[in-house]
This record gives sequence, structure tokens and C-alpha cells, in this order.
Amino acid sequence: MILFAFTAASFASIGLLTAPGIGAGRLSFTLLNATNHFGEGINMDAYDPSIVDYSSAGLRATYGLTEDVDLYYTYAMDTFTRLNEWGDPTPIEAGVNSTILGVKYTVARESSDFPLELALSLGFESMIAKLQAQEPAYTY
Amino acid sequence: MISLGCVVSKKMNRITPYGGVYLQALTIEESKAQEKQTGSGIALNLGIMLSLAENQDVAIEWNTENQAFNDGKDRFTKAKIESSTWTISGLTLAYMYKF
Repeated sequence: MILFAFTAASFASIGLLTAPGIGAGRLSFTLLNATNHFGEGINMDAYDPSIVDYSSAGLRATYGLTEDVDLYYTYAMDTFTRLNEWGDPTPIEAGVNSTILGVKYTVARESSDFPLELALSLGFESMIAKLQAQEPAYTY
Repeated sequence: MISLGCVVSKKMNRITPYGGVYLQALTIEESKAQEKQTGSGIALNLGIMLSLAENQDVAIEWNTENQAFNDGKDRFTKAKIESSTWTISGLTLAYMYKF
């Protein structure tokens, strides 16, 4: 089941989107690094034998199609720094690659009537995970 | 995974606090032996973007996500694959350059 989690978790929770568009015809690149904490079950404070720490590194390209519409593409790779599934500290070499394709539309800009900027986004994410079990590294 | 989100932000001089809520529709397939499982999720992001220059920004973002999957089935043995839930939270640092 934990493989499910890797593939689903990967990069999905990172937004990095503000409401205003970057501007028509403009292109931006974003370098990002995330440190994530995963646990099965909703309550992460409770003891959970399948807690994992992992980090993501990625690159996002954003293109301003119009003043209000941005297209973005993200590629990210995850590295797992700790695995403790079922209480077993056997290290597992894992790799997850994620790609996200999305569009964001600025619905409202700040004005005297509306104090915030508001946007809607629609994204599609695809992930591929590979796990490889390794011998545990015991210290005597 | 398909996500539909709503993002709000407010520019205050060089700092732009922002937040987003995303609803997710999920499908997952652990191996060729397993039929696809479907699920849903919700993600929340809160961040601050700081403008370093006209074309450069940095951001720090906290994100959390809850996902739940329905029961699945092994394609060959027809054995049931239990439903599951999980939570992911993290901190993201980003640097943006605009052309």
C-alpha cells in the first residue's frame, strides 16, 4: 500500500500559485525543493508504522497565454530519506517522477469592491514510482 | 490525478501571501495485476512570495493533503485490496525567474 502513497503523494500537494497571471507572452521558470512527511491514516500525530520522510526537487515552467490565463508544466523527482514501514527500518531505494500540466485563470483582481485576487486552476498530474528493496545496514 | 483548485492572494508591496484549496480526483494502479483504484483528495497550501526584483521571486509554502482510496481488486486472483487513507504535509522553497 505504501507504494500507492508514494505515487499519489509525490508532488500533488505543492501549489506555488498566486492568483495574478505572470503577463501575456511572459515565461517564467521556478526551481523548487520540498521536504515532505507522509503517514497512512488521517491523524499524523498518532503512532504510525508507515511514516516516511522524502524530499522533492523540481522545475516548473509557466507561460502567460493572456493577462489572465497561465499555462504551467512541472517536472519533479522525489528522494526518500527514511522508510519505516510496518516498523521495519529496512531502507528501500525508491524513485518517483511526477509531471503536472495545468492551467490557471485569474477570475478577479483586487479592486475597491474586492480586496483579494482570485484564480481557478485545473491540473493533471501523472506519476511513476519505482521501489527497490535493499539489505538493511546493521551496525554491531 | 485531476485537481481543481481555487487560489487567493493579496499583493502587499514586495510580499504576496497566498493560499489555495484543491479538490482531487485520483486513480492509482500499483501493478499490472491490480485493477485501478479510484479515490479523492483535498489539498491546502499557504505560502508567502517575496519579490527580490522585478523578475525574481522566492517563495516558502506549507502544504498538506488528505487522500482516500476506495477498495480495489486484484486483476487475477480477484482478491480485495483494502481502502486506505493517508496524509502528506511538507514545506516547499522556490525561486522564480521571469523573462
